[in-house]
Amino acid sequence: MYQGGYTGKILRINLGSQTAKVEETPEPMANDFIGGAGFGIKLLFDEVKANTDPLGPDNKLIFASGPLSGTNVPCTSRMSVTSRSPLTGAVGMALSGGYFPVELKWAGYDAMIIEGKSEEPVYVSIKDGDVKFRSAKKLWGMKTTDTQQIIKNDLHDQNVRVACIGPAGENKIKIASIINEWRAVGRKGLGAVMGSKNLKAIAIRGTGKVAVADKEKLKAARKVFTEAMKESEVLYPVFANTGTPMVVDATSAIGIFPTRNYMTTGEYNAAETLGVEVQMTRNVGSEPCYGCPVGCSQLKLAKTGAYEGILTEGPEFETMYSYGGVTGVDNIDAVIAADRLADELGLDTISSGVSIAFAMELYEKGILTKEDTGGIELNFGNDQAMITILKQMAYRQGIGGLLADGTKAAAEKIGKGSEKYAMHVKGLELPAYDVRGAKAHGLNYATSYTGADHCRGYAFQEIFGIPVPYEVDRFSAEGKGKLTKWNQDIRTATTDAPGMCAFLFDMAVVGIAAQNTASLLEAVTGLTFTPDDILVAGERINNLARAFNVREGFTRADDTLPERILTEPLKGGASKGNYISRDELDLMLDEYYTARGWDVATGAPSREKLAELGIEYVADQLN
Amino acid sequence: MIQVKVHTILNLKKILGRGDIDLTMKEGSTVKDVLMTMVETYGDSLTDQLFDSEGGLLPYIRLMVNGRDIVFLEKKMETALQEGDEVLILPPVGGG
Ligand code: SF4
Repeated sequence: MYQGGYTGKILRINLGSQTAKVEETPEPMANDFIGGAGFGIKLLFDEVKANTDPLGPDNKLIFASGPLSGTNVPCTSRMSVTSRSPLTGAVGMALSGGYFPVELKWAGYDAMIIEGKSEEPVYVSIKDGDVKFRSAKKLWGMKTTDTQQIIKNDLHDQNVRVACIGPAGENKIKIASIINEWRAVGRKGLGAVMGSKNLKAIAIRGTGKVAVADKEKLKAARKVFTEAMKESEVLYPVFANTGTPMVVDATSAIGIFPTRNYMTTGEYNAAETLGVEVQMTRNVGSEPCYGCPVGCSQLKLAKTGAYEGILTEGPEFETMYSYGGVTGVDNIDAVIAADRLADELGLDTISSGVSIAFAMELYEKGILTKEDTGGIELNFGNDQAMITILKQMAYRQGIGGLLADGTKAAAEKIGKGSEKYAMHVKGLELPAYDVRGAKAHGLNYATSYTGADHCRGYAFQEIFGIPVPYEVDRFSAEGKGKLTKWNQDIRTATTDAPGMCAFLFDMAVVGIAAQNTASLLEAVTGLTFTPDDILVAGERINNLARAFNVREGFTRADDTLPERILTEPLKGGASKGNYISRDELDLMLDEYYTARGWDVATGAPSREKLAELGIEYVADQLN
Repeated sequence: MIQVKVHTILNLKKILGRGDIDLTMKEGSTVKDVLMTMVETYGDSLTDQLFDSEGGLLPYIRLMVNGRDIVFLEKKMETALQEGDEVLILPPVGGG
């Protein structure tokens, strides 16, 4: 039995009956799925039946921190939130940092399953074993910073940590986020799931500790980890000062920072207006996650025009893309303001920005007119239009209402051939990499269990040139199936499941990741993990997530990319001339399914593979 | 003579004072020649960022010619450059 890391308890909260009960964290689940996203996906598959309405009372919302979260291992305040996504219909899993993840552990829980639906707006307060359901009527309609503050006041506890939704989640906007502190469970519309349950917020405070099985062993494992952090050429020397925005410069240099809805990627250097140099002029401090000596998270203050005085945490690289590059906005202060506004309203910055960029292209092509936009001149680069539409989105008003459920739903409503300009996979908008110049990253978008998601199988070999496990030619399609499987499995198993900040993977432990995770987990939990076990756990989690999607009707045909990526070569920059042809995508998919031991025709996991991974029961549900 | 563009970012850009440099090189000049020319012009501060104490290129420096990593070019550092080629010199990055 585990002797540390896990608190051994899962909190089940039923909003319909307003009851809470505690269940044991099963040891086999700990062994096989590690925790975090692994627990989320296991519980989702087992408890949410096929065809469950994502916004109905039978869908569940599962918060799970990792076994490392709440210990003294740095950079491990991470939690996953898992549900059936209303945006994609597939697994919706997203992660967040800050302090909430460790409070969940200190309150005594490895995971929290939220089910049912409250009749009235409610929030749940948790202090260790004390779980209370409180009216959220007065909070309904409130933005996220105010919501967090009012709850702290109500509970007479300024140290309580709150995860909440804004108006977007309340209005069941399918790109709504959940906000905890300055951070976001941003993607896949998980905020809408909370809203559909009439759950405004969860406030949590823990006074316990997370036990450690072997303190000496942990000291040694921790030393290896922190040494790797210190030796990194990037982590402390650069990343700690600049944060993620340096990736604007890096991706622009190699011609894959998307601009103007992917029409002009590489044709101009967006880093000149949105890159690190400009960003640093707005930096006023940092706001690290709990237990993080790196502190990449930056606070930025807008300094000009109508935006002057607006403070936000971020904008992260992805948001520099969604409210900058892809919308053609070159005003850093507008990006800062939009970032703050989206977090206050509880909107995913990526999906909302890409949806606005989609509408901008349609407007410039004449598919949307001024009549459709309610008089807004929706050209690329119009930052005021972007801000207006963001507000509209959260309340389903005007043109913002048309875009509020993402590009796929908007294209279906608009018709007129607009789908070919909609940059999404499975309904999830593309993150900030033009994958025409990074083909494994493209295959990852096509096959990730959440849709177009950079966080699942990030192809750092292509983006950053890191030669692990080997050097990779970003323009080639060959070999990318195997690589993508590896990228997805290792990241799942070393960051998403144990509860480790993914930046530490790329920038510190990439060469020793499986061993590092195995050593830390063994020391903390007292269970036995080899590096191979870690990779197999990653594979198991990815297979189970895939099985969930197959059970929902997803097939190989859904593992695709937007038409523009498949047909239009990049016209400028360091990736000029490249695209992912349909033949290349097919080749990569064949290779990927083969590497995974999945049916090449359907993309479904085979019974043999599921049996090999110890989850054969799953196969019975896939016919 | 040929004209070659050099593009760099972040700390390397700081040392050079700008991100884009135009160089006039002899015909047949290689990637290595470009680096040597740069080092001659910008001195130790650039040398320290690119090379180890034995003169070897630091393993995390990423070099590209027209967007292709030189590890995938047959002659690697000895790749001969053509008129108008762009050489990218990228310091280590992370954090997407
Ligand atoms: S590196 Fe950044 S995101 Fe990661 S734990 Fe630290 S502050 Fe949080």
